[in-house]
Amino acid sequence: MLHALPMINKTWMPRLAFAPQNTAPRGDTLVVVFLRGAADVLNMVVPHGEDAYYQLRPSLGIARPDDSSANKEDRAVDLDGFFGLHPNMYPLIDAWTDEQLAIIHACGAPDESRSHFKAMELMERGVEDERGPASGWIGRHLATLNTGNSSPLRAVGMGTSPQRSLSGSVPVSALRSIVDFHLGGDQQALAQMRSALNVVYQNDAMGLDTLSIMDTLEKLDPLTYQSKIPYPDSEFGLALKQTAMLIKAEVGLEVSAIDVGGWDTHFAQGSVTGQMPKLMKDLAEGLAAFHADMQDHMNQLTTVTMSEFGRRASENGSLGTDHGHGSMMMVLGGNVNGGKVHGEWPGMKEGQLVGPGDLAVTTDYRDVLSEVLTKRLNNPATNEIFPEYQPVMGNVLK
Amino acid sequence: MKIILLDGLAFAQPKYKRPANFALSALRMLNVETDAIAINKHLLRMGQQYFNHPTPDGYSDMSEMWQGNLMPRWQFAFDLIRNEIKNTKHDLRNLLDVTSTGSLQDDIDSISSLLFGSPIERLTRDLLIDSVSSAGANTDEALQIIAGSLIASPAFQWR
Repeated sequence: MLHALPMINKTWMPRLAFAPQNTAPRGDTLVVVFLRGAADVLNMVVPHGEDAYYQLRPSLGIARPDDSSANKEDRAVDLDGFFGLHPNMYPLIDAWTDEQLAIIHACGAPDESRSHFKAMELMERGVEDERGPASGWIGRHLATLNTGNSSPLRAVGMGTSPQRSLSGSVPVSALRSIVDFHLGGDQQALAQMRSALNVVYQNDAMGLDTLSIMDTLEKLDPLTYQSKIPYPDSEFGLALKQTAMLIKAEVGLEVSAIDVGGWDTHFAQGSVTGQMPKLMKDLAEGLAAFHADMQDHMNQLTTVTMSEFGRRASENGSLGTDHGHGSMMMVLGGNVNGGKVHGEWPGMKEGQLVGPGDLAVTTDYRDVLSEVLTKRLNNPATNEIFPEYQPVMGNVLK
Repeated sequence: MKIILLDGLAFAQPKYKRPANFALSALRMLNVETDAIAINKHLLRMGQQYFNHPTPDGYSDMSEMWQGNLMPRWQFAFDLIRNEIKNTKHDLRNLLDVTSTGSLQDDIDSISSLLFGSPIERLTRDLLIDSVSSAGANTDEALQIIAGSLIASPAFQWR
């Protein structure tokens, strides 16, 4: 029988499946951008020093930086003499020259199914095959590290529901918009609702935290938010802008997960114009705006981009690219060994490609994330976050 | 099934309501009439829009997955109680008329009995009335706000 509010005996309430074995101060805020649909990374960070790239992509290939037969604005932007950015990724050049952007090429997961569903699931769970925990790798990171932070906005999935990578024993929030984090009504009605909620949640830490954050966020409005470089007027731009606002508002944000869809470009992918260049422009402009806006926080901020797999090295008959294997990750932050393309380049010549003609994976994505977890997030429990995997620590982060 | 066969219902632990459970239990308890279209928007905010889970395994049945997203539940509770959800109506007064003695205290006891099976503790009830009245609510507003807060309360999130 329920006689009082709060009426529930909380001793049985499931909170954590297991107590975090690590206690550490909060590390960086982690922003994970997932490019859903398997982004064609070979056209994002172009291996312009690789002749085979141009043989395999006669229509879609991005011209070399010194190719005078192409318009200058259509050529790759050279990074290191071998790789170059797609021209629509040019907004990231400042972060690159500031050495706050690192690229890990030919990076990815061992799964060779080339199935979006399977690859995304395994990658978000941080597992090698279907066995292993159903929770997500970020969820296990949160569960294995006690940072003394009980904020309901400790981890936020930007969108209508939390990403699979966030699932686990620590509650996370889905946030479409900061504006959604308000109760409706006039000031008097708000005060009445708030006072009643204060009573019914008087012994509930999460409820009290939610009330406190509601007060903080009430003062924030994405429409009037000012940044050094404007964020793109897109869902991705809004997600990054709101992430920036939450970080600056100090509401306890540790992880923000953002999805960017539309990268499954089988048909009419476009080389310098079209669907994929448009996506790259949005991605680069968003990250560049975030980088400029968060300069004062860059030492406590790490942003990672990833995709479930890469695309076929050769273009297809529909001026698109099919599902491939090796992908690419970008890491943006103040403690990144940036201005460098990391990882071993496997090459694109015959005999160097794998499967039906795909870029090989030479760096496991879990190696990069393990570095982020241990070096920047103060969590050494990589054996629980990525079970049955022994990460090889690289030199992407300081 | 095992629990029932072993006569072990007493050992079954309550579960945190998934958004659909939460919304439907509130609609049922308030005898709401709705075309359900606008309810789906609230379910979307709460994270459980029908037929929209991205993978075939369906929405999680784990309590922990749902506990971190209180605000959309609060919004639903207050929008519902204020009849602000499109094509979704209840009549709180009519619902309470049979038992109402006209006092706010009794009406809150009635609504909490409806929602929880028994009246809330008297001290808590009086604290709720005091706090809402101090914030400027008249009797009708107080009943509405307190009823909304009971639906939004931790106790109503569990089944």
